[in-house]
Amino acid sequence: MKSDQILINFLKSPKLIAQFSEEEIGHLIRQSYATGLTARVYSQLSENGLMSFIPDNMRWHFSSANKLFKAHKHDINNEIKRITNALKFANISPVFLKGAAYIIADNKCHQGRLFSDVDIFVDKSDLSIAEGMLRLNGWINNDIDEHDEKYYRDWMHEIPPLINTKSDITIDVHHNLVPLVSRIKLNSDLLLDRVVNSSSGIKTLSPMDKILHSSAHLLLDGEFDHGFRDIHDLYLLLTEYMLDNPDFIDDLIGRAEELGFELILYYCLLLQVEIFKLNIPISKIAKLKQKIPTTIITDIVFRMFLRVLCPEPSKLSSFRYKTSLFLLYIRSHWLKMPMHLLIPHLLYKAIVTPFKERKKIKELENNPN
Amino acid sequence: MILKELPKKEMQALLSGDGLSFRAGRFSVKLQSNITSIYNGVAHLYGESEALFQQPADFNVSIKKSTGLRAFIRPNAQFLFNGIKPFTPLPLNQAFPLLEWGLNWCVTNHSHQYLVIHAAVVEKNGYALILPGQPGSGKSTLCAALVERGGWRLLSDELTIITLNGQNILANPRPISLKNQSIDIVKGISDVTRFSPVVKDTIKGSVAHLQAPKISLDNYCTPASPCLVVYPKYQKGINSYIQELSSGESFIRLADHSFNYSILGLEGFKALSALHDRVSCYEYCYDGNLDEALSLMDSLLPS
Repeated sequence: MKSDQILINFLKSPKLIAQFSEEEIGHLIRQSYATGLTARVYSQLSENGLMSFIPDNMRWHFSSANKLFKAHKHDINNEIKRITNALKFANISPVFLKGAAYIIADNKCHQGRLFSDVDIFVDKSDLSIAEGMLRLNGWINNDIDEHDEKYYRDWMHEIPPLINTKSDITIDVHHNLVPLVSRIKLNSDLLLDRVVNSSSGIKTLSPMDKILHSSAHLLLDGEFDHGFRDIHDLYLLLTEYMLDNPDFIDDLIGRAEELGFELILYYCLLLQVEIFKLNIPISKIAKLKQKIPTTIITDIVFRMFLRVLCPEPSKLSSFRYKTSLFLLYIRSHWLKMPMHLLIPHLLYKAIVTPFKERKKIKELENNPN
Repeated sequence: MILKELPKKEMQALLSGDGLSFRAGRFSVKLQSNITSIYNGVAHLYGESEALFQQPADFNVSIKKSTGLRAFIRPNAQFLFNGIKPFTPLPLNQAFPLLEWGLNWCVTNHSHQYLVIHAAVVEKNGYALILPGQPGSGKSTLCAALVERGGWRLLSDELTIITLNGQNILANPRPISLKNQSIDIVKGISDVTRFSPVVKDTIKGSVAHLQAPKISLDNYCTPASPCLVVYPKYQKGINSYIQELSSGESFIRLADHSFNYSILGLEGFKALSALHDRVSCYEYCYDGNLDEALSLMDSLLPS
């Protein structure tokens, strides 16, 4: 078995663990750490009754991660309550997105998933009241400079992150469901038409929209620190819903067409087939491909996605990995901003931000307390 | 085989190639690095540590020198844990302290099978003495003195590892980290050849490391029974005194000093409760007179 495929092979078919050598399990542990999926691997092992295949002296990596996950889930559930309570007074009921939404909907992919921010969406007309209510209830801004503040407000789909002083958990308040991209037309407002209520009355996106929304973030944000985790989340969401509904993929393609998410779904499904061998008829992907203006660039971008979504830590320092990462970062901004704003922004990030950070570190060194 | 017995060439080849595996405390580490001070530091301070060749390591880490333009202008050292960069890079001359801080991070962030507390801990006659303390409290100096002069066995100078039943303290003997004035004080009471060079101007001031005694390394598998918790507080020119602390007070302080009490939840509470059923707790303000401190600590032990 190729060593850089070990985590992927395990996630595709956890029962393979029975055939792994001790060295291969060591490799699985390394890739689990590298991708932040140690607790996810724990959940797949314990769900399938496979823990006994992990040697005694290695099991603690996974069980420790699971303890961290359980504490994290507990904290996030409390945070969800705090947020809904804070906004209830203004009659705002936010839509929870991504990681928090997976917990609320009890999706399989919430198992073993660790994340730092809770993401919520509120209608743009409620935004300033929501922000005010959160501030009133103990949320504050992190340190942020003027440039970043302006960048967030004008060019992002969210306001600068707020942090809860009691729990130290950050909340990202979105007023648009996807980045405000100027080069792909997305009808993201339509995502709100099918919002679902959980048993406790908390709102999340519908199953299909959740997949489209998470794919859009993974493939447009230009950051891949948790890319492999996110692509595996999507794999688990797809397999979970495909099991419930044999026509799920067709419906999903239809929904993507309604919203203008064809390109995003095309990349997402193709990556699932390529990485996890997800069982989708290739004809369906081909049909989806006809709907989008594919060029040689589409294929190159796909190759770059594959490269940055690799779970093997030793590949992270390779030239090809770094180049792909850099080009995808540029691409995400290119999609977002017109050129005359993009170039000053990237120059600011490349020159002024490191300088300011260095100054901050220097100050910290001179005055450690 | 211990690292000292490994030929220099072979050790360098491993470090700059696939990685050098060795025992660091109770954990196994596989380290990759192309930095000379890392090679020197590991060869010297981990010289008596067991070299490992077979099984996969607990922690795979590397310390990398910056590349590109940064390799020439103010070069940096970056700590990596399986490709993850938990810290901002530090100046190249701080590479070895960075490795030590990085290895502490590995333990405190991933070992929730234990309750881990920020405290020095030493053992005598099977009894463990835990020394929690803020930076500047003199806990590392006291710990080094107990180990170098007082006949105590070093379990750890930084991380006290408690089993979740609260009944055992596990040894994690690694080099003792000393800062600022304590470097010269401890050099005065032990063999100076066992010290690393002093690294100045780190975020914690001047830092040096002292080899863990061989007897500690050889007995890393032997746990100790919790017996004493002493909160040291160094104050220049004070009249030293010791006073008993209620277990309730100590419980709260130790929870506060722990890295993963809140992650462990009920398990953490039970571990600390069980621990406090067994220990006597004291607050100890001292003027830096180590001889007096050593005989006082001995007098607290059960006879």
